[in-house]
Amino acid sequence: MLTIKKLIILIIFFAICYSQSMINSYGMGNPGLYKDVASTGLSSSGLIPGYGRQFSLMNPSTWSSSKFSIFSSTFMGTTRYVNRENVENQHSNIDLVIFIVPIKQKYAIGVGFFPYADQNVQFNRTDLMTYENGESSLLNQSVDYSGGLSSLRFAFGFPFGNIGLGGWGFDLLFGSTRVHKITDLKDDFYIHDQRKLFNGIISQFYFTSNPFFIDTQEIILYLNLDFTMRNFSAEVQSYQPFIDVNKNGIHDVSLIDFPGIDKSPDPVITQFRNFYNPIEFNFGVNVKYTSDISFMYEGGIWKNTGNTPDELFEFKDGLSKKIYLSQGLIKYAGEFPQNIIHKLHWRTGYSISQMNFQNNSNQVDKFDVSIGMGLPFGKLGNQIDFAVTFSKIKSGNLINETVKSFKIGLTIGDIWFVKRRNR
Amino acid sequence: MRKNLLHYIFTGIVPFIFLLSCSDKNYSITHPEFEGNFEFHSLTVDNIVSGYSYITSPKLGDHTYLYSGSKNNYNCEFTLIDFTSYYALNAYPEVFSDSVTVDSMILRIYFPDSANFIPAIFVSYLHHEIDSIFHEDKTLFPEFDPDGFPLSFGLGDFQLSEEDSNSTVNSMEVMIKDTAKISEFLFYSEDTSKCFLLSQTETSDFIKMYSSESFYKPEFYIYYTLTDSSDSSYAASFSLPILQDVTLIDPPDFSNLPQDSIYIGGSLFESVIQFDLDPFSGLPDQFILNDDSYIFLNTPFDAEAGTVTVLAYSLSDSIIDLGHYFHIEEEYSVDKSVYIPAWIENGKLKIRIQSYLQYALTEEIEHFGINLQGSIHNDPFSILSIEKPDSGFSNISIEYVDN
Repeated sequence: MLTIKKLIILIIFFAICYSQSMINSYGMGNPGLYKDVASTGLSSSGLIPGYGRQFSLMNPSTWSSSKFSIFSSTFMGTTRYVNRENVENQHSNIDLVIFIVPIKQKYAIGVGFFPYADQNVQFNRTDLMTYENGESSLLNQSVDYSGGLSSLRFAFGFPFGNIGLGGWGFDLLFGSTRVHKITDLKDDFYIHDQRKLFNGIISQFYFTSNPFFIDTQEIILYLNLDFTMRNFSAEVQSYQPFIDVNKNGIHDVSLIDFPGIDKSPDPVITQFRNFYNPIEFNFGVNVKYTSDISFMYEGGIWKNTGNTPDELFEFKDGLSKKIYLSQGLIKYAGEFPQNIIHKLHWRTGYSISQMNFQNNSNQVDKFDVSIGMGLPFGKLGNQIDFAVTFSKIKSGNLINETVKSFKIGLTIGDIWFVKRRNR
Repeated sequence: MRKNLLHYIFTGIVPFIFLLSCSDKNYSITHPEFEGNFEFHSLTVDNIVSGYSYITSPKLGDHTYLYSGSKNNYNCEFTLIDFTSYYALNAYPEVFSDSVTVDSMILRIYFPDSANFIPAIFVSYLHHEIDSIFHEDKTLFPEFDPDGFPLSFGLGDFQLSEEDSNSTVNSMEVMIKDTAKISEFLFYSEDTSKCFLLSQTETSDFIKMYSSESFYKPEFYIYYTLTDSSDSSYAASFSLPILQDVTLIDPPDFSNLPQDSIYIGGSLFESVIQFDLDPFSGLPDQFILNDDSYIFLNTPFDAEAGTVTVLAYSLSDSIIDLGHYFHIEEEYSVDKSVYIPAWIENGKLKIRIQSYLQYALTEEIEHFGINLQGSIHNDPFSILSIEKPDSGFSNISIEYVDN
């Protein structure tokens, strides 16, 4: 039992890490990147069912359609190539863990945990510092941001009158970013550490319409509205800067580092509010081409109406708006498959998105192409999914990144809360 | 059943292999808007330092040398040396119980300078029942009365030791062969403190000798001859370990010292310098002082004073300025955990206040000022004079880094 606990702690320890992108250094980063494998395969936000015919792990209004309670986890590996500098970074993390229990196929309840926004990035800079006496020396500076926000999601699915299904969820967002700044001047290492703690709550409404027909095409509409339910707050703990005399990167006592941690004042704490106030609207259309093939159309807008304070983020800026359009195609696995092709869900899609900043006129363009597949197995809703995404992110000369990611998801289903008769 | 089992094995192994195959690479990148972490600044404040000197009692207990004679108007007439016979009394009871067995006793003191001549230094044995007659950290010249020991007796003058090819250090010694004096010396066996007084009558001659704090400690040997049970006799010796020693200094009268200087050293001068923290109130909330942060004070050129090693300590309590050259009984308490190196360079006393000022400004220590004193290893007769900072030049120059 102890070994299993250790294994779980170990997996969480190295799995909850975040990728490195230039956008991560702006404000809270780029939220909404983390989703299940099926939605990734469709280049969808998760609003439209991609996991099954009527079921999306990210959309609570579709949960009641499941016959089984399910536990799903998604793991992602990403390679990010910064074209401007020929630097390639890699990371891997758990993308989503969610547990969903449908109740009498009318209601559903679910709890999920996933990264929300990512602030992991490292910058460096080298300058030549010239003194009054004419001497000069190299000044190497680097800043390492690590961490980000995670989301604990509680959500419910319920009937929405006679017109469809509803869903209501809360994302309890929390997390911290550690900032480790190092300046090396003449072999003296000056270090300043900060810790930024964030929290806030976002509420979400989902709606899935009943199927309706235009001409002979069966169509289902999906809507989603997110807004801030409890204002975001941030606490920045700024620790005493010090000279790392023994160059171990850690603040030691006064006989080793200067000033020693034993002779340093308490961290300066600054509170921030109203810096992040996201509101988001997404819509989707599922057009059934045949009983097994659907076209997905999706679009949305995300806005941050908060003001980024100068002291909270390095570049005194953050994303203010994001719009996207995506299109996906899915061929569902057959109910009674005759061959391997019919045993799998096949998914593909692309999306185009555009992001704007609060305090500068640069615009970030992002293009994603994805393919994926899912293999249902067993009789209780088990499924394994794979997805591959290729993305380009570009903003003038500032950002030029190529991202390749691979996701794998495992979903285990079972029947819960059903009285079983003794034979 | 087998099919399900294969499914579970497949679905279990694939994610596990995927998990293991992922490795993180995290290289830093550049950002045109990243301007760096710290800014480097400097600040110089003139004429905010004040200071004064005070006089302590001359204490040479921990000093490496003993002295006899006169130098720089300091008079070193008396030196006290204390050996213990406690261990020898237990190891050689037959010697102490029968003084006839002792052939001779030698008191030997080493000195660093090469010399063919030593001043006349007379050695007396001071008996004082069972306790030592002095304490090397507390006994002072004005309180010492060499005639206050009725049971003392003279042992003779020091003589230059014969040249010893095994030793590279010169020494002088007093050999005691007088059986009456040997008997008297050993008679007071309860007095395990064997104390000698070295007095020099002609104080114009000056000599520096190694003390118990040095490698070449003063030595006291007892040579004896014993007869064993087979009626054969043998000669042997033992030494008494030294406990403490001190030279009692009679300093000159400093009442006419110029008031425009402060002084350090001379085995009795210490100084205090103080300054206001207000000029540094503009520093940011979080900063680091770097090691190019100094107080500069002017020191007139003096070759001998230039050899004075200055020690600077943070005062750990508030003090009342009792006036220039006031004599204090108890030394001011200092915090030796705050590192404040000080040295003389290009006619300036440089006191590095990186630690002191950092901790004072961040209120990790209370700002009472800095105590300046001479090192115990200094020549106790050399005085460093510094231009009084509030009547002359003083300057605080700091370099700091803020985020």
